[in-house]
Amino acid sequence: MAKVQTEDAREDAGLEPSLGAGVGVEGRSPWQLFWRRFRRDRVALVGLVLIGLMIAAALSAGLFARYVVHHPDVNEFHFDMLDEYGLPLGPNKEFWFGADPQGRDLFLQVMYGARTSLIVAFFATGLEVVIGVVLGVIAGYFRGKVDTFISRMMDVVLSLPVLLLALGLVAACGLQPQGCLGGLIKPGLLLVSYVIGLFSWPYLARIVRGQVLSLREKEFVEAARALGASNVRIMFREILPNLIAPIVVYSTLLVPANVLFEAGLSYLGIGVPITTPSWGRQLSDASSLFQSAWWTMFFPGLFLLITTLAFNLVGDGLRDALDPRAEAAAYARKGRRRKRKEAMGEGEIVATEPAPTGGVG
Amino acid sequence: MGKHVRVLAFVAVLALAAAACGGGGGGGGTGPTGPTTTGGAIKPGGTLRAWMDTDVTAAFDPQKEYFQVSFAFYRCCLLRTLLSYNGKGPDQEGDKVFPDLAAEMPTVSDDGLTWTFKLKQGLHYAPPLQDVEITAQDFIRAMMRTAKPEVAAGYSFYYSVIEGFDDFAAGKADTITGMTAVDDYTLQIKLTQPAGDLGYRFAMPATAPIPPNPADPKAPLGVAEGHDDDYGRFLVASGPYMFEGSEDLDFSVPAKDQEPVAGYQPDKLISLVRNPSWVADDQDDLRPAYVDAISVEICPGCEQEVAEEKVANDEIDHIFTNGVSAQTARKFSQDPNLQDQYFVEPGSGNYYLAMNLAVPPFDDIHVRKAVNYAVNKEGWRRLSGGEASGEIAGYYTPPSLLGNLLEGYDPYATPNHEGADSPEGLQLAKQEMAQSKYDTNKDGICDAPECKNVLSIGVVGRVAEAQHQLIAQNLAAIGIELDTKNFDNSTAYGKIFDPKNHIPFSVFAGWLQDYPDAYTFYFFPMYGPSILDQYNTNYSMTGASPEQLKKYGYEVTEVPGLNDKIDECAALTGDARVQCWAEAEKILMEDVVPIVPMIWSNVEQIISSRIVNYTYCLFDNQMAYEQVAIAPELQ
Repeated sequence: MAKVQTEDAREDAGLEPSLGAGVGVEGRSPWQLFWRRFRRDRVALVGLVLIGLMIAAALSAGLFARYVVHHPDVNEFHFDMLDEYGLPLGPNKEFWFGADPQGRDLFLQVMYGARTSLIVAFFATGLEVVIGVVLGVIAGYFRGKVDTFISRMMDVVLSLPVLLLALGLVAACGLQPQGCLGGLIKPGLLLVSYVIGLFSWPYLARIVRGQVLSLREKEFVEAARALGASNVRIMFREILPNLIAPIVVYSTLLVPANVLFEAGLSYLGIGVPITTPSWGRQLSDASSLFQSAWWTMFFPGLFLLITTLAFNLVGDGLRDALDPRAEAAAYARKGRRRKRKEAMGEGEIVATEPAPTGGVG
Repeated sequence: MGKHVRVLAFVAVLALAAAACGGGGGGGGTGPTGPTTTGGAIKPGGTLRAWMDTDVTAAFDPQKEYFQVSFAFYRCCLLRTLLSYNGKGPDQEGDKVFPDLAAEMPTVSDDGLTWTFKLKQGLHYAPPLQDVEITAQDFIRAMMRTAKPEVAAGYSFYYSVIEGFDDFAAGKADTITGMTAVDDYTLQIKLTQPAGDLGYRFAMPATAPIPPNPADPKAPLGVAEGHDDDYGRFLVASGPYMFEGSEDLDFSVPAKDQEPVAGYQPDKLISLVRNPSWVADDQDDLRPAYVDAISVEICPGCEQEVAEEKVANDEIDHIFTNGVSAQTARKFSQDPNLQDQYFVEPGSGNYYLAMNLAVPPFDDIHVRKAVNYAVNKEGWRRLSGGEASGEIAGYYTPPSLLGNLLEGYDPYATPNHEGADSPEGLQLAKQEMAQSKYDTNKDGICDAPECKNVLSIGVVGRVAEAQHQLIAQNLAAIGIELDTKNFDNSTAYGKIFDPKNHIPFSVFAGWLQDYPDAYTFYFFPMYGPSILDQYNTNYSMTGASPEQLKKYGYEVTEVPGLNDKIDECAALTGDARVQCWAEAEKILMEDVVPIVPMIWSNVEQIISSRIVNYTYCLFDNQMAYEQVAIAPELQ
């Protein structure tokens, strides 16, 4: 099928304007270019939609509870949804996902669980990003002893037995109402977020450090230095804006990892408090009942899967959309294949649309 | 791989996993049909195969063991005592004691202070001491070992009532002066105060006779000499069974050089075989002992549900447990092939919520009564597994220990036992709360500062935490806001064991009888003088004296109790004693109110289709191994 090669696509790929395109080409900002590339990735868009739905579900859980399913208290026990042996009953008209092992509305538990997962994941990711970016920029910019110190700190944190320390920290700080560190770390969602964030920042810090090591040698940095800009200004006003793309991409991929980390802690019984719904604890509670109450594991597992998959897909899409070299390479590969076919007489000369993001088969 | 393909792969994996793991809600045991578990032919023989997921607690040392499963092994099989049980349920006098090594029930002096036991004659120990006859001195030897501090016996406190027992324990005497072997077959026991339940205390395994050591007749503790920590592995049996390999025990060598019996391998195996002496003596009316051998696999840390499946498939005959999973209960109940192999029996224990009488707001009786009205007991029980887990408790002591004299008594009853989750229950709770000093505006809601942030201790676990949450919701309805904290068992008990911790509320307490007399439910949990500095089980500080309250740092200077009533009942015997305990129960529930009784626990038992003449023993809450048989064609 003949395909039309658009000027936009050629420009996206960094190619020269086609012959006959003498009419002026409209310039686009980097963000417009990014969006045009991103929206062509249908899989990433699906992921975005799913994330949107998950956020909407989390935000509207209370409304659903009160006005749709008419169970305003997510922790309300519905003992009529436990049979005579104390086993939960399955989905019906009133309880769309059935009951959880304690006789609570599983649909609401899952909806509120989305809230828990997303709050913890975003907060932990934010913490990781702040710490990782700051330390990574400092390490890469100053190099020398500063870099050595921060890099060794990264090594130490990466070497820690994260799960065991998380167990101990959450258990210790979670048992006292006043928490730890003078109340800075209190039992609840924040505690779990701190634990996740504090153990995961080195991954981003290393990436940022590597990028800064390269960027600090660029001319614009020299120019800024020559103009008398302070180190802080150079780091955070000159260099950092150039790191937005990889930071955004990596952060997006951190979110699902943190969702799983929180679920894992809750599965082990040391995550968020028992009155806070969590997919991880729901899976843990369901593990002994799966054979007789499949819904107790299926629905939390499904939502956890969808959430992590959606963020991964969006992250892949962002990476491809923000890195024009990736698409150019893909387009170039497709162009070489086309020329090979022409040389072998296998096809007509056809104009092609730019290769879709996400790579080619 | 393209992104689309990855997505499809993900979904495919999910579908495959669901298909692999899916299938089967409840239903369908496939055990072979066979003889019915009741009314089948009884023929001696066969090996009974059992399973348990935890070993006994003190390697079968009869003085140390304080564990119901251990008691079951002793009573059914290994050790005979002066008096013992018939191994049956509450409807068949399973709560009574009968002569076992005693020839008849003891005679008691008019003042209740002197008990005389006549022994059966011509009874012998198991190999290697098959030629040694059981005599009165052997019981004194057992009590001396029970008193010995180095042995650290599990329940020596029951025998402090014997004259000279405590002096011997303190090293002030060489013997227990209150115990006398009048002759080889007459044992006389003198008490410092009347104890109407002494017969029960001498049915406990710690009182089982210890034989003399033929190689060292002067050894004060006989064959147990030198085995302060491990006599169980050198146990000389007196019951219908003995540990396999007992005949190889050699007491002629020093204790430290003796080889332990082969039939007990800690954390692995218990193997019992017939005691030929018991067969030859043929003087046991309580134990038919049909099976030839008993083999018990010990599997620490193993999943009980796997073993439950094995029972359904007749791979094992019985599990030492008090309950089965809800899924197994449903499976056995609904499968016609398995229905006759599932039993729900009355237990000998309870569960209750404990309120500290010395900590606000529970120092106000109206608050305690309001809490009794507010708690949804039926919901709590449903979370536990429904009716099979137990009967809703209207009061504290299990009914069978009170001769069922209090049938129908439930001073804080609410519709369907739903507490504050029913409108009437909530109304009753509020009416009671309105009389409390902590309800300042008398609207039925506890609104004083003492009602907020009330520490409540529970244990971790899916069911326990949900129950704790339910209780918190119920109490919130009457204004008491609990600060719920859940810990592992050890930590949780550690917190409530220490009276100095001032724990206001605990939601996981329970009590189990030591023997079928209400005294065992009152002596430690509800008796002021029993309050201990450590391992205190009177969580409510019931009956604590002003001196005790001051000692433990309480601001409250007095709390209610029923110490005098407990003393009164403890001295009585027979029907008068049971009537007295029933009266004490009413005082506890109406005038003291230190607890919220939740359930009297049931015991679930499952057995294979090989078992014939299933019998449940009320004393140790397990299948009575000495009563059951293996179907003849399956032996």
